[in-house]
Amino acid sequence: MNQQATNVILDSIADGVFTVDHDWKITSFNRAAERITGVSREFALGSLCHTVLRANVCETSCVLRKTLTTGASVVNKTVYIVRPDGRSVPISISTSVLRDERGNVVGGVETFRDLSHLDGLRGNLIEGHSFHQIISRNHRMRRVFAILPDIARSDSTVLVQGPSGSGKELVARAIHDLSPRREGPLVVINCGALPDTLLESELFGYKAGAFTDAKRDKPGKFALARGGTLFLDEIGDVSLALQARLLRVLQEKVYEPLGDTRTHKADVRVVAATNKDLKELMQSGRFRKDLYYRLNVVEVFLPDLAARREDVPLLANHFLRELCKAHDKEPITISEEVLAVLLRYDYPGNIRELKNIVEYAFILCPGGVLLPEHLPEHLAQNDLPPQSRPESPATITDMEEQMIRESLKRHAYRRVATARHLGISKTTLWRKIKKYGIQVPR
Amino acid sequence: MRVAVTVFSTSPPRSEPEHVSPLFESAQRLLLADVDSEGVQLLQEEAIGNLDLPHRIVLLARLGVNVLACGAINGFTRNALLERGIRVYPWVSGAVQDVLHILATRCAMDARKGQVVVERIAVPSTGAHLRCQLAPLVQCSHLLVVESLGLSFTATEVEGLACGQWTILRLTRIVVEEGARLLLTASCGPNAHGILGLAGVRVLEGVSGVVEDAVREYTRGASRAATTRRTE
Repeated sequence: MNQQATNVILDSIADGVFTVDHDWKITSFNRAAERITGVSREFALGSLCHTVLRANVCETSCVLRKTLTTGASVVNKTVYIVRPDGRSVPISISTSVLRDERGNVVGGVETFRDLSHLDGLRGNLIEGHSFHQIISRNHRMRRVFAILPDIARSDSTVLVQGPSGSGKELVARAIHDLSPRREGPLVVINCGALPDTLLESELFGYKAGAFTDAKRDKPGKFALARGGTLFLDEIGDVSLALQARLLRVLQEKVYEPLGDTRTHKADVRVVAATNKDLKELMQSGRFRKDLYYRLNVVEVFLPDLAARREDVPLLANHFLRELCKAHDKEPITISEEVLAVLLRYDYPGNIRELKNIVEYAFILCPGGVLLPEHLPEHLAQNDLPPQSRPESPATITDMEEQMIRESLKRHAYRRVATARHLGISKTTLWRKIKKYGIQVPR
Repeated sequence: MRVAVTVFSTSPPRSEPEHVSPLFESAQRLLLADVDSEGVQLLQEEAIGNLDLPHRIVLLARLGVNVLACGAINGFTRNALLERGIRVYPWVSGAVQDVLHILATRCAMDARKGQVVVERIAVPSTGAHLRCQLAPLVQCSHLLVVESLGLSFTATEVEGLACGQWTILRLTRIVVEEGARLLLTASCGPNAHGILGLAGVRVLEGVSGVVEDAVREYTRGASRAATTRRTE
């Protein structure tokens, strides 16, 4: 086949193709290569390949060099290139050795495919698995999606249970948006973040003169949420005294602001959430039984992210798309290596932690493809191949020590969180830290 | 001015000097130099392979860099550097020492700016005289540098040079050493734009025909534009 016929064939295919000689100078460059790289053939031919392709691997791990050195082909490696207009483009490259008709090696050939269009397809995929901004393909979450419209239609109190960072507030928002109260306000209050007295005045409001510094009337959240929904987050942290007042509001739909003698009607729908086991709190006498049953008219349970691992790619792509949009950046593709690391991680901080990881990687990634080096260090260490991991523990005691060390590290040496994660008391954890001589930074 | 050039880590053949790294974001080394009209004073080299993007940007600012000459660079990174007052010349390729030499020559030309009366124009062509055809940069056999007043010129044969950016780099050295700050050509690739931009040479693309006519046409257009500006 003559050169002209070869060029016609090369130009008709959708993938970029170029060939190099032994000096790394480009000897052919097809139309698709021009389109993807933004460099026309006129300027590419005769140039050193790294001055045209400008990929992130050119300097550190050139794929074509590896192929020409070992003779082994590389198939579908995800890298990114930067075009003359400063745009990063994710591409998938394959390389092989180029031989003449007598079988002599005359150079190398590289084919590459533009992966940017995959972003649009991923977007469609995410849309297919989202429900009022909650994204999931997990069967348990799909069941939640199915019952949410019915839950929303009623005016019953809803208790959303799930670990921290699992999306409880999003569920509350979805219930509000789907309910007949959607035109009214959605008022959110974190009961765990405020001391008891302050929480009381925040919830119910006060009259001027109720206490020192109460210069004028202040409406509480129950008043602000009138006609809408009140979302009580971290309800498990509320004191017993306040629980009694809350119970009255839920039962009788009335309340009195501090210092007020008149009774106000509570026209709100209450959605409460907790990351604690309310049944256990109830059994230990720290949560009122009657309030529990009053709140738990409808229960929604959200699994932690480790139990719905199939959602990790969808969520990671969703967060990345949102970040790119917010920062007016070109779409970024997540490499398969990064996805593999993300899928293996346990996410003690759940979706919030995944979101933080993606945000960290987004800051470090200049564009194109998210690579393992953009991930936080603790994730990369978590993903070391078995041979580079510390030696496996020999005894149960060693295993216990290793578990405690890893858990402490994962929870940034916060003892309460670590003890909770390990299912032991704070005192036991303290005793074991002392026993194994673990250094805990202050 | 304090200049940083990213240096390509893949070792070149022994006979060849070190090249500019292909991509700023994955560059492993950074060479620092102070460049002025007197010449180039090499400073230290920094290993940046372990630095992530934000730290690279912070390092450049901390080292007092005014100008970064590098290979390709993402638009986002480039803007972040510009915000810190660092001027970026992207798509520069070829030997690091040539790049620094071109910058020093540019500094010397900038210093003489007020004294230059006659404008010199570089024109790649198919031959060594003014009646030859103007050629695309990568296909020219000669480089003519023509004075806009009187049309006296010098011609340098560049046909023997290899294709690709080595030609562009040597051509650019000739252009700046001959004192031209403008290049007329039919077309110019991104690597040529990169190095000519670093040299402070303006490129006017889409010009064709006989060299002499193209220069006269440009001079007439430039004087017309100057007259219009004065009468505005």
